[in-house]
Amino acid sequence: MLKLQPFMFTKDFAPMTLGAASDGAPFWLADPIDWAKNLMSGHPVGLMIVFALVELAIGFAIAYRPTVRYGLLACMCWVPFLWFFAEGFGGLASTTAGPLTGAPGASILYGLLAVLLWPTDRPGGSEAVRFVGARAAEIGWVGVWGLLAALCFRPANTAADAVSTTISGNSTGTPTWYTSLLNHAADLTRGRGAEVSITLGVLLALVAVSVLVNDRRVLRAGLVLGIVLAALIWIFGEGFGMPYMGMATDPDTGPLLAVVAIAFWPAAGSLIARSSPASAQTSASGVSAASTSRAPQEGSAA
Amino acid sequence: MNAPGWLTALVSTLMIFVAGYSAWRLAVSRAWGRVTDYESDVLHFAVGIAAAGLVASWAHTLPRSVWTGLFIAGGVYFAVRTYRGWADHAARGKLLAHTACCAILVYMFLAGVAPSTLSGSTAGEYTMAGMPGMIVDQTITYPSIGLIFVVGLCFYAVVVLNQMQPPEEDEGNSALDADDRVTGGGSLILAPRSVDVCRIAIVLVLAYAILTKLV
Repeated sequence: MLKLQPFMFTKDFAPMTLGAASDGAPFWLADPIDWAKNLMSGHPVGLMIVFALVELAIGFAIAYRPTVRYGLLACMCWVPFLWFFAEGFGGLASTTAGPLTGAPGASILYGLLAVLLWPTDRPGGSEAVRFVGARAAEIGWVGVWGLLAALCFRPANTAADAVSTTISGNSTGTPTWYTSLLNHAADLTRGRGAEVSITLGVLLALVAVSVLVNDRRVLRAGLVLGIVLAALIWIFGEGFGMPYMGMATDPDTGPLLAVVAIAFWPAAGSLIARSSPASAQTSASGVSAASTSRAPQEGSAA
Repeated sequence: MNAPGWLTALVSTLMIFVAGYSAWRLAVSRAWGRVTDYESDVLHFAVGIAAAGLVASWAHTLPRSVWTGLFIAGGVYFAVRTYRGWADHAARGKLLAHTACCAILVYMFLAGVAPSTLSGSTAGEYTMAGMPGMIVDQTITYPSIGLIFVVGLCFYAVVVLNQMQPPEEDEGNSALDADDRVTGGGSLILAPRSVDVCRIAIVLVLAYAILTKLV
């Protein structure tokens, strides 16, 4: 729906949106993005209508139960192109990538969710482990949140004004109440970029390892912390995806990180996503690793 | 900025079609001995006409104040119906959705959702977006409320689509028309799936109308 906004059909869209994706990118990434930018600039209406229709079709297919698998499959095919051409790998190839600036990119999170939430009848301790299994789900979780944590420690993100500059940059065109909130947050963090980034990095690292701890309470605390951090990143770092000027193409990574965390929420009476050696054996015999490691989890909780 | 003219024309035409189809359902259901949800059809008729005028100026009909008053009255009616029929779980969700729909229409008319004030489309043009002197349309008031409504509308469209049964899964009516269901009283409902399709079209067009004014 966002891609049907009037701005998307103008010749300004490609330079402003795709151009931003190639900022600071190496040549092997910047050159293809520039090619896509020139292509979009030449045919802004026709190409944008195609993009909008493709994404609407994917959304309809996922929402309609008989076609959900086709929709998820189409999503998995579509997001690599978006991740490369529209997001420049979420900025990961540049020196300024960070959780507050939208890394690792919304598209890759859509793809991850499409895999994790693939409909299946297999049992599992949470929605995220039912299709791919506990071990693969853990790897995905640690990979995403660990990457976000690691990015916080990059020099560009620990600079004195890195955080305040990012926050104040989101206030363009926003309503008064939100501008005021962002300005207050920018004032609070001005000159404290290192402290804020390192604290955020440590918290994100705790979220990353929470699924590896064999305790349901730790898992839930990690998931709640992940949701809270995703909300803070969305509000202060990403400006809700900056929808107020009619130029947003997606809600950004904050809501998707929260959905990933919700997908890992343990089902009632089930267990943590982590698999034990015993469960790995049973997994090979067709039983979900997550469901079979329930007993020791519940025993430890007791 | 202004969307392509053919796109707004298409969206408005779709809404007029929804309104016409709802009026047709009201007209023929009794003659055909079929049951229809009069409240939904009347609401879809009114929203279809109103939404068409919110997207394209050529589809403008009644003054905004009249539409606002109509949807305030409709919202109050559905709110009272929801309150009185709270114990009826089957009807409660639908009535709540009707109430919310009226509230969103009231917001849209009061917040300034309207066809573009620009002459001609900016599609395919440079607008110098984000720069002084750029070509911008008149924006809406209280955009945050509008965005919340957009999220709610899209979520509702997903819920309705997710609850739609594919034709082959209709329970016990294999001998009937694929899009017919039977009420508790044994009467045939007139094409209930098409009402859901109209509902999805309406909520997405309302979301589109709000988004096009966030500039």
